[in-house]
Amino acid sequence: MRYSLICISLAALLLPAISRAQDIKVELSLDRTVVSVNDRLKMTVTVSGTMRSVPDPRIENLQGFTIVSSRQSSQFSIVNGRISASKSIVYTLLPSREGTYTIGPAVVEIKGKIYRSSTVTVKVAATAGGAGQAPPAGKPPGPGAKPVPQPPVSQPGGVAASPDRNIFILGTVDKNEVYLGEQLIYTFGFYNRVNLFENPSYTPATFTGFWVEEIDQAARRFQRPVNGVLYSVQELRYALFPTIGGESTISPARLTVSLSNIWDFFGRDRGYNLQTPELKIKVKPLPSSGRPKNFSGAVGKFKISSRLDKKQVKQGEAVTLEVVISGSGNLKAMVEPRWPEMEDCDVYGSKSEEKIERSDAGIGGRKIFSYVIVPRKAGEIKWPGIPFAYFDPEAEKYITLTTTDLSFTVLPGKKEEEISPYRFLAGEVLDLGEDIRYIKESPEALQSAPQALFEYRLFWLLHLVPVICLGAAFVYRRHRGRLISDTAYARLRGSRKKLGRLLKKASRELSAGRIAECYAELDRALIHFIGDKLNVETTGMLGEQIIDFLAGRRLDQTALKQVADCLEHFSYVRFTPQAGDREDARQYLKKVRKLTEQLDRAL
Amino acid sequence: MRTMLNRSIQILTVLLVTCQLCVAAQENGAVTTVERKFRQANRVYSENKFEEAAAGYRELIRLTGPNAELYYNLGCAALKAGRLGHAVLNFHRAARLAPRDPDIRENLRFVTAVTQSRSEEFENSEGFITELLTRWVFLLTAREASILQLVFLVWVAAGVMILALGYRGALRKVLIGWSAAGLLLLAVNSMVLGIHIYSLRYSRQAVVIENGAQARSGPGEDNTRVLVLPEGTLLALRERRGDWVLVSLPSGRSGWLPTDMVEKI
Repeated sequence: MRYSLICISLAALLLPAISRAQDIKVELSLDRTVVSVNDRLKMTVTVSGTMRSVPDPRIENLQGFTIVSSRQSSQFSIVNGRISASKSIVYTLLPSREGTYTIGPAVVEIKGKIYRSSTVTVKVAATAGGAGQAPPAGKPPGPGAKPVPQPPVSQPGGVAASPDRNIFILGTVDKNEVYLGEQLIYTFGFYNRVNLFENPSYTPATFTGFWVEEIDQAARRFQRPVNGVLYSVQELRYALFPTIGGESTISPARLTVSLSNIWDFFGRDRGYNLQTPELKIKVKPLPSSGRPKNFSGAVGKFKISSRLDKKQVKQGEAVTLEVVISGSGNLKAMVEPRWPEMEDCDVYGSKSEEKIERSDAGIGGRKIFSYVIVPRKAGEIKWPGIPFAYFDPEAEKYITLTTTDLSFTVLPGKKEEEISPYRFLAGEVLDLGEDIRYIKESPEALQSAPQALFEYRLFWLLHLVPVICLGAAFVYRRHRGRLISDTAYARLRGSRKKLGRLLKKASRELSAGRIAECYAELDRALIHFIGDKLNVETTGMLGEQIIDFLAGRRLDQTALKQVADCLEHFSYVRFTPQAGDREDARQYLKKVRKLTEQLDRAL
Repeated sequence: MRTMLNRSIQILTVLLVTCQLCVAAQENGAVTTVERKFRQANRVYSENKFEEAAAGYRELIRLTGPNAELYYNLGCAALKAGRLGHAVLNFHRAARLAPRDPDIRENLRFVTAVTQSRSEEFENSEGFITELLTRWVFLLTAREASILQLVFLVWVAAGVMILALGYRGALRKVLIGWSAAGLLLLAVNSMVLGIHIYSLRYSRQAVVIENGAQARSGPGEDNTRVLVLPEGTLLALRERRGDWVLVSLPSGRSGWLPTDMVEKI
């Protein structure tokens, strides 16, 4: 009885501890126990019990697996004053190699006490076929099959793979030995199994000695298993056409990759600089034996066809011939087929058009050559087919194809009709580059530049010309106006001219020996001059009257006497012509000139 | 007396003719020498000896004076010899003398594109009006603008003079239009001429002729470097102190450069 009581008491004391100890549970489980190398599995760790906070568990024995991601959820409840909590963490694991592994236990420490979960065993198989099954034997690669990509182990001159082989790059060609102009395909592949911190930086290979055409405009993305491991692949392909013989080199392609690390709480990321190995391609020259005369360098596999757009035309009208070469090979480098001489027709220009097709086999498509043909005469026009020669690198021989014979009918046109104008097929102007223009070589360029006119003072003085002209115009206008309105002004302005005319007339009379007439002109000249100067009508006036007018103007007495003397003498000679002689008249002519100058100044 | 006079006239005539012949011979000799040097410079250019050709063109410019075609050829030789700064400088000089020459314009456009492509900072940041003026005003040379100025002066003078004579009717209207048009053209051309005069006398443009020119905050090696100016950059000269010049870019930034690193257009 006593013993039972002690046990019950002890149990009552210990029960809470035992119950608290038994309350904390740590469980570890997997969603499956068999998984393949290229597959992922989920591991769930649950910590539950009576506690206020749940610490994060630690997973032991995780070799052979990489934690790709994790997700956790927590739950709290209070029942009858007791706080219960649980935390579940789901890990996504990626096995790195095949084998059988024991994961765990998950360990958690609460108040100094360690709690462990059980362990789990998982089998990682090589393929998705499951554990115990050998990977299915694949077909042996046939001729022309693409090489199976292998993660590179090591190569001199550069690293093409990360140490853990989760990332690697490959640069491969489908042929290492080609003929000159033969197409080969270079493939760059980026194989990846992990999260990347950012887009990788890609530097493509350089293809010296090749004409390059991109097959893929953008990288192809897909998944591919390599040695049983599934990779995400990005691939770029290029079609290469060697342009020089001998050995050509494809330089390495480079890729810089940054990785993310979820366990790196400092946010550091790792990166790799990868490069592919250099590739040597042997370029064989095309065989010279058996080369057709019309061979123009086409290498590949081709077909040729031709088509006329009309079967019947009128004389002078044009017909278009289309020659189509299709197939795979260096289409862009292909030149138009050579024409035989046509006596009956004129062939004008040609336009070429390319339709390039890109496929897994490389570059192919069609090249279309168009010709405008104008027949010279009516009738049935027949031509033999157009030959085209190319080199087939697979058959390693030259092949000549010929189009079918062409024929069309030319109907006679009207006599007055002329041959219709040419239809030229315009080609394209190709801009190949830019440079400065050439020097000037003409010796005429050697004259020095003339000085600018504004360097001279006269240039600036000439700016006054409009002002001067304007002033002169106004003055002249005023003068003309006065001449019209002011008789005195008009007579005054015209007095000298009139005097000069009359004196000239007197001089002529004198020269002619007509003394009386000379004196008459002198008389007229003097009287009119005085009348014009004084603005009086002196015609018909007597000499004394004129003298009186002059006296009223306070003229110099000497001048007055001279005027009186001249007038008197002129009257005398007029009435007694025989009294005048030539010398005398000459003297008076001079006297009148002098006297009128004096009067001009005085009046 | 008469005989002596006649004799004197004869002697004078002979002397004058002899002098004329001597001058002509001397000029012809000079022209022949210049032509020979010109052909030689062209020949070495065609042989890709560009430095030698550039030296030949410089010598010719020294002999003949400013010449658009010689500046152009010198620019070509400098560019081919790798001296971008000298190329820009001489193409600008050629363009000032022959602004409508298509070869000069094309080569100037080419080197301008080269120098501008090297740094976007040095793109010409002129406004619309300035660019319009620069493009159209400098289609005429200074001499052509001067000749046009005289023509328009005569135009205006004739118009106002005849107008001032007081004609009436339709003729008066025609004269008013004629004079107004002449005044407008004169005003525009005066502006163009003014720009040319300013450009030739007061505006001092220069080109960086050495690579790696570094402008400093003051005239001296101990001042802070503030700008790196590529060869061929177009600058405005603002001030000179000793062996240093203050230059500024179209953007307004300025600095001091040694005088041997820039050359005035």
